[in-house]
Parts: sequence; structure tokens; C-alpha cells
Amino acid sequence: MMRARTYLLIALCGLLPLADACTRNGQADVPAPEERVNKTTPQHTFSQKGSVRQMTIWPEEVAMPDGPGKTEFTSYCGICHSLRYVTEQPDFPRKTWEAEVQKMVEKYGAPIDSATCTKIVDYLMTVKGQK
Amino acid sequence: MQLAAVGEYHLLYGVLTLFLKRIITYLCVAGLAASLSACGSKKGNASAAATDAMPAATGMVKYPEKGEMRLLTDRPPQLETPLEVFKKDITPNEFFFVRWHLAEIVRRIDEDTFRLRIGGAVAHPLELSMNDLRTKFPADSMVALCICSGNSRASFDPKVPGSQWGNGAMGNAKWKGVRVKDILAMAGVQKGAVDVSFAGMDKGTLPGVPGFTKSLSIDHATDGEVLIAYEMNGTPIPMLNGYPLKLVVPGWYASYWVGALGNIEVHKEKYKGFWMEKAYRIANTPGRTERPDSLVKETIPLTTVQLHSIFVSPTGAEPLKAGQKYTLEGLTFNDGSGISRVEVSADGGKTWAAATMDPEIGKYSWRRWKHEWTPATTGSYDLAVRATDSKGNTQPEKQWNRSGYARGFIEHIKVQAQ
Repeated sequence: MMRARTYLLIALCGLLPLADACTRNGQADVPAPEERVNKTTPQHTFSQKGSVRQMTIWPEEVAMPDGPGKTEFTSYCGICHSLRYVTEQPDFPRKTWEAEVQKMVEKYGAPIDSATCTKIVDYLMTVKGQK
Repeated sequence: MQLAAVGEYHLLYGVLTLFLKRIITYLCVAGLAASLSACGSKKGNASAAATDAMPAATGMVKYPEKGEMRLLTDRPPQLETPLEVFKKDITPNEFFFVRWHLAEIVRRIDEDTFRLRIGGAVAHPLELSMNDLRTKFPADSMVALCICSGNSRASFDPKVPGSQWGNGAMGNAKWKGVRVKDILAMAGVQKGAVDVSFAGMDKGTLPGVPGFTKSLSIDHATDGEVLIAYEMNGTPIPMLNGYPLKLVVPGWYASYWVGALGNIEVHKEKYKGFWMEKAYRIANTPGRTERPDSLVKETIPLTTVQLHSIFVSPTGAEPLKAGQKYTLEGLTFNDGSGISRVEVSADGGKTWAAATMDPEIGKYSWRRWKHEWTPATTGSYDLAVRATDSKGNTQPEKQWNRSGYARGFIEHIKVQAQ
């Protein structure tokens, strides 16, 4: 898995100069991603050059506590939205979390089977469950 | 491993951001890769990762074109305005709240090539440039309150899921732009048109996630008050607030104020999109209230702004001095139909005194209230504020609904006098 990720990364990095040419017109106002890695505070950027406005927003993801179902939670929920949606929630009873996960599947088309939904709800109960 | 995984995620995300227009099809792959990175790291130096690349769960951040604001979520961005900013009648652009629904917000716009498209049941479909909007139509402007349906959600009891906003998911700005009425007149609305839909250019990461589109009846859209704004407080709208164009629907909740507006369509049948039929709906009851143990079956789209009033000062965070005179101050607002009085209580609602209201800034603006008050003795005070609208309706003490929308129940704050 590590190897596959690294290859994907290298492949995308190889295309960086192309990204430069086609989206930035060669301007140096957006820091190269390599410079961003391991910085304590991400610095988002905004530029206005001629008729073009653009911004870069770096993720400010949170470290989630360990617990059963964490893998399913981070993998599936993180496709569409920040995990912060959960960290800022109050504690809820299981039926509330079940309804939230069902909403993502039924209303927003999240591709999660019911066994996985149960694991995700288990995890949500671990981190934000009403005891 | 954790550190490497986080680094990879940042790097990957950064690369993808630069590729914005070209990588739509890669996004699912990237999202999955990032998720796999995050969940594949179970060992290693977690503390280094925690201090290095992961900020606190809730904190202040500085986003593009923005000042220090409270971060609710970063993908999509949701930022809350600090309460002290509300001491100003007009909310500066850099502190105006941010709320997007879909992860792929618009991050790059070329104003020269951008076009607003108008189609559907019209005689002449249009593609309007920013220059067209500025030069081919009369400009109109108004000061109006833009308030999130879920503003103050954190105060609902029992608590409800959703972004846990305090009072800072709202702002008052001067919007300048073109009347939808004038644009649709140029396009020529066909007979039998009933609805007009307005679509944002932001996108979800999965193909099944519906694009953000809201609709108004043709009569509402062409009432002469609904604007397509290209300026906010005298400058272009910040990207995070919907540059280059934002729909302004005065008196209605911000879900209708579609940002990064790209497409307008006229419909001969009732528009039934996801964001009208499934989301942003509320119990069809007076006062938009229901009971947690018996939810109302019939829901309707949440539209007009609920009558409400809040404290801006004091906040309750700092003790007051007994015997000293203070000016209590706050804001009141509703759907634009007018507010007749604001009253303040210092005894939890047993007795009320009339507050003064500043002159009206505009029909759809919020309005500031003030009241001089002296805590006579030391101790704890339960301050409350309530507004009454022009029809005589006064804010209720209690209200609750499952989504935490349209707060209108009376705000209380506890202050200590020493």
C-alpha cells in the first residue's frame, strides 16, 4: 500500500511543472507543496493577477482517537468531508448517529454497505456517544 | 508513519488543488488515497504528528481574504464570525461568515472568461460576462442581513446534529448587483414559467452528491428585490463568500443566497431538486417548532428569517461592577417586515424594560438595540432580550426543531456583578 501511494505521489509531483504552466502563469505566489509539508501552521494563499483570482486552502485535519471502526470512519466519511464534522459535535445517542450515517447513504449517495455503516456508528459512539 | 502519512496527504491535496480544473475525475481516487493514508498509519510517533500538522479541533484560522475566524470545518470550509465584529453595523468582508456544502469549492476564476448562463424556459438563452452584468443592466444595491439557517444551532436543547454555530453565522453587508428581474426580462421568460433555479459552481467529491441548487418561484425571483451581487461592501465578493456572483434573497435564509453562482434556469414545472426537496426543510408548524418525542411529519422548505434578537455586549465572559452603569447592546432582525420593539430583562424574564433601537439602516438590514442598565448589587444576573415584530408577535421562550434551524427563542446570558 505504501509503495502504491508513493508512486501515485511521485507521479502527481512529476506533473507539477505542468500545473504551474497551466494554472499559475509562472507566478511564484503559491508555495510549492514540498515547502508546506511539516510546517506547523498551514499558510493558505490567495492571488489576484490580471483577471484571475485563485486561492489554495490546505487541509487542517484532526487526529482522531483510536477505536473499533476508525478505519471505516476515516476511509468513508473522509471522502466527502472533513472529519472535523464529527469532532465538533456534541455527544449523541446511538439512534441519532445511525440517522446521520443513513442520511449520508440515502440522501447523499455515500457508497457504504450496512455492515460498514454499523462499524462507523460503533466508532461514532466511541468518540461522540451519549453514555 | 503517521507523520509521513499526513505529509503525503498534504502534498497530494496540494498537487490536486493546483490541478483544479483538470483533476475532477481524479478526485475520488485522491480522496480514497488520503483516507487510506490516514487509516493505514497505526504505529509510529503520534505525538510528533499531532503537534506538527494537526491543529486543535476547534480554533481560530486565517483563510484566504479573511481575518482570524473560528474554524468549524475545513472541507468544505465553514468559518464563524467572532461576536465582537457585530459591534459594527456593516460586517467587513474579511470577517463575514463562510459556509459551503460541497468539498470542491471554486478556487480559481478568470473574470474575463467566466459566464453566467441563463436557460430553460426562456426565449433567448444568455451567457453573460462580468462586463455585461456591469454595463448592460442598471445597478441596484441594498444593505441586507445574510443569516445561515443553522445560526445559533449550538444553543438548541436537546442538542441537534449539524455545524455547531454560535451567533456568528450571519453578517450584514451592502450588496450591489443586477436585479434578477432585469436579467430574466432580457432572456424573455416563456409563458407558463413557475420556478427559477440558481446553481452554484461548487461540486461534491462523489458523482452521486447533488450540486448546490436552490429555487424561487418566478414571482419571487422577479419581484425586483432579488439581486445577483457582484460587489459586497464596495469590493468584489471574497472567493470564500461566493466570488464572482452571489444571489441575494433579502429576508430569506442564506441557503438561498447561492454563492459562486453559475447557472440560472427557468422551469415550467415546480423545481424539485435535492436542496429543495430533501435538505433545508423544517416542520410546518407556527414558530417552526416541534417536540423531540413526536417529530412533525409534514416539512416544508425553510424560507424567511425568523424574528430574533441577540446580545453583542456584554458577553458574560467578563464580570461587571455592581453600581456601575453599562450599555447593553445587541442586534435584532426578521424577514424585513419590521420590528416594533425590543425589550430587555435583568431578572430572567420576570420583568421587561424597553430598549432603544438605532435608526433603520434598510428594510432587510439587522437593527441595533441598546439599553442602559446598572447592576444594583453584587451577584448573578440572568439577562434576556426579546423582540416584537410589526404584527405584534413576540419571540417565544421555547422553540426546538430536529435540525436546529431558524432560532427565534429568547436569548439569555448570565453575567456576574462584583
